[in-house]
Amino acid sequence: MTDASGIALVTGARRSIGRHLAEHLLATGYKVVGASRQQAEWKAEGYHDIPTDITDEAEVGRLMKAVRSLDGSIEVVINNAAVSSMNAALLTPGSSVKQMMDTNLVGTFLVCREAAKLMRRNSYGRIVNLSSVAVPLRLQGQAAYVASKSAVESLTQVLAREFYSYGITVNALSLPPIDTGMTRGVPKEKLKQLTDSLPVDRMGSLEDVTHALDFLISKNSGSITGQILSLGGL
Amino acid sequence: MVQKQDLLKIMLSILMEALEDQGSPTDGVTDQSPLIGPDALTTSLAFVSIIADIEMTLADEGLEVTLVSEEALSRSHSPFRTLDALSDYVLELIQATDSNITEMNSQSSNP
Repeated sequence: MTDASGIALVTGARRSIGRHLAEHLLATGYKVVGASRQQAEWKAEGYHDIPTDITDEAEVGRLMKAVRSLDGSIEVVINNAAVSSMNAALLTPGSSVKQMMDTNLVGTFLVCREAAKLMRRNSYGRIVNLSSVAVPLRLQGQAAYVASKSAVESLTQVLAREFYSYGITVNALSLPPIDTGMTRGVPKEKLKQLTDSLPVDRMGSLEDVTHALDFLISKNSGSITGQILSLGGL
Repeated sequence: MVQKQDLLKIMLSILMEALEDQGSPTDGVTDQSPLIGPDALTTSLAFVSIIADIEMTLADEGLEVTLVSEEALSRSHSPFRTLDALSDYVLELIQATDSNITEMNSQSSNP
């Protein structure tokens, strides 16, 4: 079932989960705008690739200008772009922390803010910010990443309150490890240790993610906002 | 080049609509009416909507400006105090953008 009609914006759509989500939204009937730092290496009918550094306020402004120039209105935003780094806190450089905060938090904030300005004109919008089960697990070795995603979850809950009167819902989807490029560099035993600590003790699948996403962005989900939906059973 | 009177016309129309939406009277509202502070015409929620609507309406006219910035918020005389002050501020932002573009063009044409 699909109730798609407008434009969906996916950050970090160049590869991995972002690309999968973009392709899923295209198949659902949305026009999709993908925004990654670099040009996507894939193309599809209805897909518009707009390279954007989401940490740069002016670039996010230009991204929204490009979205406005398309036919249709922006209905869905998926804030997927993120950087992570696994390192003991004692060995984590400040520059890594700043980079993670910039992309994961500031970038998400700027995209939410500018997209909401467009969405409120139609009194409709669905924003989904991707988070991680690393937050409730307080995952060691990912202090900065966990802190940035915790901030994204809090941001989600505050924006849900601020944007509800504009007809915009804001939710977060908290993902377990998914078999993608991002997890391929993580040692298998570490991943097993992580999944074993979850009630749903397996790697997540891309289908798990799209199933939950479809629920959050459904036109029937107008009363679902400010929620952190976890796929790990937490 | 956009004129101040044109900006004020756009902004006043947005303000009137916001006041009607919040059920407030629009009689006697001018470009000198206070937008912020204890005598503000609008609720804080309506003020946010007005600023966002002004930005979006200007963008529709091809004028891409971000009204809220650290610099704007730290001014001793807030550019958001009245529509008159806000229109002056918007003109200032547009001029700054134009001069940046002119500077970029002159740099790129230099050998």
